[in-house]
Amino acid sequence: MTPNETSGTPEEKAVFTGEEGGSERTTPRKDLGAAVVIGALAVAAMVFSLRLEVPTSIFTAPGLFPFLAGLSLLAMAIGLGASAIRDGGPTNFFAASRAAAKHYLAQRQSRRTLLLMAVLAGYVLLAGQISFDLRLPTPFFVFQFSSWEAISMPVLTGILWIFWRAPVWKCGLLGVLMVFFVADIFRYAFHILLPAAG
Amino acid sequence: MEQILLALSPLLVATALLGVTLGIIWGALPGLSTTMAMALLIGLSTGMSQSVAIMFMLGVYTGSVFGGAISAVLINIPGTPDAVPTMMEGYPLAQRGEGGLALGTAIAASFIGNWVGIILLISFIPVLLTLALQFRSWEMFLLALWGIAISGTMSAGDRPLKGWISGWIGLLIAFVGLDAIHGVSRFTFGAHVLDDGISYIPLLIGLFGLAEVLRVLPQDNPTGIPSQVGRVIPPMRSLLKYSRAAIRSGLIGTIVGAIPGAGANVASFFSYDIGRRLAKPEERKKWGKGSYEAIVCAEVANNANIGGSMLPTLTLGIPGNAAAAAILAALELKNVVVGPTIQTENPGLIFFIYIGLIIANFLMYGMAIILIKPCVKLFSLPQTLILPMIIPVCVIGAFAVRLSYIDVYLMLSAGIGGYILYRFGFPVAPMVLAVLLGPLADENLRRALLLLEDKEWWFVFTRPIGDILLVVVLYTFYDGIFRRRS
Repeated sequence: MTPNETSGTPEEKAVFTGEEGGSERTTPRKDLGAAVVIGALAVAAMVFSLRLEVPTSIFTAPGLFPFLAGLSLLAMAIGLGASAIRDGGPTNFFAASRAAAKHYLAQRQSRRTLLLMAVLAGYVLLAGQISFDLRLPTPFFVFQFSSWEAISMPVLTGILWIFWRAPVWKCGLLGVLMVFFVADIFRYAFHILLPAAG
Repeated sequence: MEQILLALSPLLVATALLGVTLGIIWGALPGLSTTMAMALLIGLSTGMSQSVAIMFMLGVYTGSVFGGAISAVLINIPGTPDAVPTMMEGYPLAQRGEGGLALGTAIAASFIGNWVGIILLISFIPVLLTLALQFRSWEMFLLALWGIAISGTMSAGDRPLKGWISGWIGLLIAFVGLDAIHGVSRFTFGAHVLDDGISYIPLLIGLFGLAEVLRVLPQDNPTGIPSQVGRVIPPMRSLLKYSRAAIRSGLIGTIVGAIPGAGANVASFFSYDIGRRLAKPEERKKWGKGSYEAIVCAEVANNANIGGSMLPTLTLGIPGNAAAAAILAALELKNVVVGPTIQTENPGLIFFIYIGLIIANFLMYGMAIILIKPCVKLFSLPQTLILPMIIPVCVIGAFAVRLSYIDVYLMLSAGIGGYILYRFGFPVAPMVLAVLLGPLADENLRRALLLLEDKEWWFVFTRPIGDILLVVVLYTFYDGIFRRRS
């Protein structure tokens, strides 16, 4: 008996499919697409491995293990592709993929995920580009305010406003408090530099 | 003795208490997993001393594994995935007004589980270390390869191929940078920022932190209304009734924990299933409708898993699960090299970890009772309020490791990549393990081949440990391909 098998009444509520599972989220069409991408990645890894110089013996060549890993990954991609083909993955592949993409985009949750990804990408890029650090001496300590905090506050406010859907002032207040809290713990309690400034 | 006194110093006990408290609260909050907590806290641990960082991480690990049981029993939402069996049994009990007793059983079972894991850890570490010292390059290569393969098998369940693919992609990521033997630049495409290679810590934060935020935050699922807890009396005495189940589950949890890639999730489900099969007929009837024995099976196993996961982590440098990989990362940041030579390179560290686990276990027992009612209040907070707070922690955590903003970009890419992998049904734990073990496998394979260069090919089969490991590796692939197919 493996932990992946199900049995009896209790498991009707929750089926265990491994430490992370995942088979319930996939389809043969998805697997076929993934196999093509992974196969291409494996071939690229093999090609680039062969281009690496061989300073001494072939046995210690820097490209040896990457080549073997690429080769075995290609074999796995073929295996995944073959199983997807056997399960009917290629049937109306392009039309069905378009329909699946349309269905994904039609779902509110998917659109919210894509929006969150875009916001996070913009946030990380912006925080990496802008750099300043204000230091205001007070009688007790030096108050610091960095570009990272300046960027994080409105971004977090926006994320809270989109997903928590509370009034803007509430989101803004929480956004500011959250960023100050996290930044100050890292900066003052653990003396860890913050991105961009410090 | 010195290590015991050090671990018992007020600062370290307070650190462990903080870690346990944060861990229980974190674990109790639905959607926030143990691995996520561990990954995010690596960044914070960079600002701590070695002993404080270890105590803190052990506290969080111990606390968060139990924490999942609180929301599982009271609101029918498992705080962590390994709390699903506890939810299936505990929630029906809570509906009957026995929520407090169910939680008390879970607390006591977690306490026992931790003890079983710690005792087995202490018992088996000397044996494993002696064995590990016999390992040469060929054996270390096979061990690393097996770690990645078995992690793929255990993570992906009925589709081990997907787990292996995830691991092999991780291997390719691990090759980026200067190779350890000749210093040749691999897969950097002229970008010198990649010469140092790709750190697995931003990957860990991205795959288990940001990807989780991307997955859970956009969902429209309001958190349930908390039930009344009732009186919580940890029924240590009643555990005697289930002592056989507890010992069996402790052994299962520890053994599963020692297998790379198999974490608390596998342990609790496996133990739950075995427990149901071996239960007495009258007890078996209660399973699924609210069985205390079932709670004992699940909670003892997932907590014993902690000690088990530390076994390969400390002796071989191969983490037992993703949470143990985070502890390994925190240790590496403090220049602590774990593996067969841990006793000589870091004398006393193992004893410090033993004591740390014991202290964390006692604190978990006390804090679990104290924190149950405050945790219920926390359940009324929506995830849409809690999860955004994780975003800045992910950014600072990734940056803090090497003070490099490249790591933040890497964390973002890993987060988005992790979400895509999730959508396509690929597990991510094997990838992290492979990025961690890739350099070890690469270096040792080439060293082994160099030693074998002027010998006959069959020389490779003259080392018994290597032969056993080779059979184990081949069997892992055979089992994944053929047995699961049938």
